[in-house]
Amino acid sequence: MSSHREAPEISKDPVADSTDTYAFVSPDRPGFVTLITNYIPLQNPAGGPNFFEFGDDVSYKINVDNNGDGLADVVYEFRFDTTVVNPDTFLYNTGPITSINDATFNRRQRYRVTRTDSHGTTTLTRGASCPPCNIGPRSTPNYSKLAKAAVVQARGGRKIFAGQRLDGFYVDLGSVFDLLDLRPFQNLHVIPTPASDGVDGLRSYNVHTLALQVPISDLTVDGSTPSDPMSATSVIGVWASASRQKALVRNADGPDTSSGPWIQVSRLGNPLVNEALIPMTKKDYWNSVDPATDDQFSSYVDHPELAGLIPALYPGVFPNLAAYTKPRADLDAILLTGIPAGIIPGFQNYTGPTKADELRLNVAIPPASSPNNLGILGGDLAGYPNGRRVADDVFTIELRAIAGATIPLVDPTFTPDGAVGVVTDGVTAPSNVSYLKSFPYLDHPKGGFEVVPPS
Amino acid sequence: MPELSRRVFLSSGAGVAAAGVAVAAMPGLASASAAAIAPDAKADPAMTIEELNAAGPLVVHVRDAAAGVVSVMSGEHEVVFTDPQFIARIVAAANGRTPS
Repeated sequence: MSSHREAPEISKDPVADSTDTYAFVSPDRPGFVTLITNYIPLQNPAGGPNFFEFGDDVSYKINVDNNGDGLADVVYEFRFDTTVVNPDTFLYNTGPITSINDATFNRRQRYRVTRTDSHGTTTLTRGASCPPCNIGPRSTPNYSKLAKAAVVQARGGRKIFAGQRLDGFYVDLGSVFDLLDLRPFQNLHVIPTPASDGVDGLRSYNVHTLALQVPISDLTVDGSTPSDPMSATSVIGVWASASRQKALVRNADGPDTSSGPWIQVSRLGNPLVNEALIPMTKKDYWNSVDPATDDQFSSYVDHPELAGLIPALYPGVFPNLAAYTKPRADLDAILLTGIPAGIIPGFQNYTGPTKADELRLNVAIPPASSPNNLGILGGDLAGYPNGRRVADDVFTIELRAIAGATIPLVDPTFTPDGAVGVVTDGVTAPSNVSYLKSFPYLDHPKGGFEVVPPS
Repeated sequence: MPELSRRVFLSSGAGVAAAGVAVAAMPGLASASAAAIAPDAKADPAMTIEELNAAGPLVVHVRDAAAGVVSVMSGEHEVVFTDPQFIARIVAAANGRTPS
């Protein structure tokens, strides 16, 4: 969650397992959009001596659809190459790493980023360095300096980063996977226990982040920087994907052979879609296809299993939701087509009738001066589901939406249950997670030395 | 059933003869084990040793032998073709028989 270990096969392949995708107009650089996607979930910072790294054999992509057909029109691809300075030691670092080019940084990754659109492919950077993982005060004594040095300043003001970060997502994993228990309301659960505070199940875990900050005009269909939120050209759809080559032959006497075309094994647009809406037997398949074909999954959005479970697990708390049998046009709009004009004053992120799970961002909506982590539900048009910012409380937003909070947007005859406006897992930012005020916005990773495992 | 490794497959004379035909139809595709297949490749005037040496490893995949469809992967590409005789030789080799 939001897409950590969300499908059976990708849960066994964490290097290619995307955990969260973000897209937002940069609050400190409003002419630029920041695109972020994370991989390798639930990293225990002390997980050495072979610390976490991207896969040299994985093609990582951030995809942008700017004409509403569910297919990528702009693709940023990251490819990695790992080298070892000293092949005769088992050490990740042979002394304190004081710069990203330090000889003591024994196992290091470099990468290139390309951008492909209808005009061809251009290289944004090559030979860029990832920072080391945050190990501890002796090995990585000035981590913020290392991380800052790893931010690539590319031409045109573009910025690129690839490396370890603190996971910005927060949720009470331990409770929600225990029959959708919500600790603040567990006294009302069908298997009740006294209510308590939420616990951030991702607290102090790291991820590996791919981040880009590019001019808005790099992403829009006409190369413009739109100022009219109601214009169709103001909306882009974003998702991440990871692919592996079709064939792998393990050679006992030498390097493995990877061969054939790239096969998508992971995809992520909106949080929680594959995790919480798609049935287990279709999750791996869902990961392998483009958003353009998502109409085949729309029944799971229109009639979400969770909308039936919530009233059953919290008896008597959600009677109106329990009685609602119509297809969920609200979720269909939020997750698959974008919200059309005329529903929320001054806002739309509709991309047309093609049903596609994309993180839809209206780039003409300026960053909020006082962001509300509940995004549009909280009256903040710059937050989820208008794109997604790093601190947006997407679990609570989607929980409330599935519980009926957004049905009145499309069906005025429906009255949400009283609990909908307050239901939460009890985990909030920034009390449970920290962020940076500038690119790459996700905070420095926790160090292995400093983190004490949960009891 | 004996293990059929890529190396065993490529050193199997008759199988390689058919593979040579397949590769010849796909410019740029060839095997890294050129030494093993060189004798048969020489029989195909469309394929030179240099061409064979220049290519990377090949992976041949027969998902459904009865359908007669062969997939050959090289680099980032895949070529699919139909060759029941080629597949028959592969199946014979997989079953430990000398391909005819």
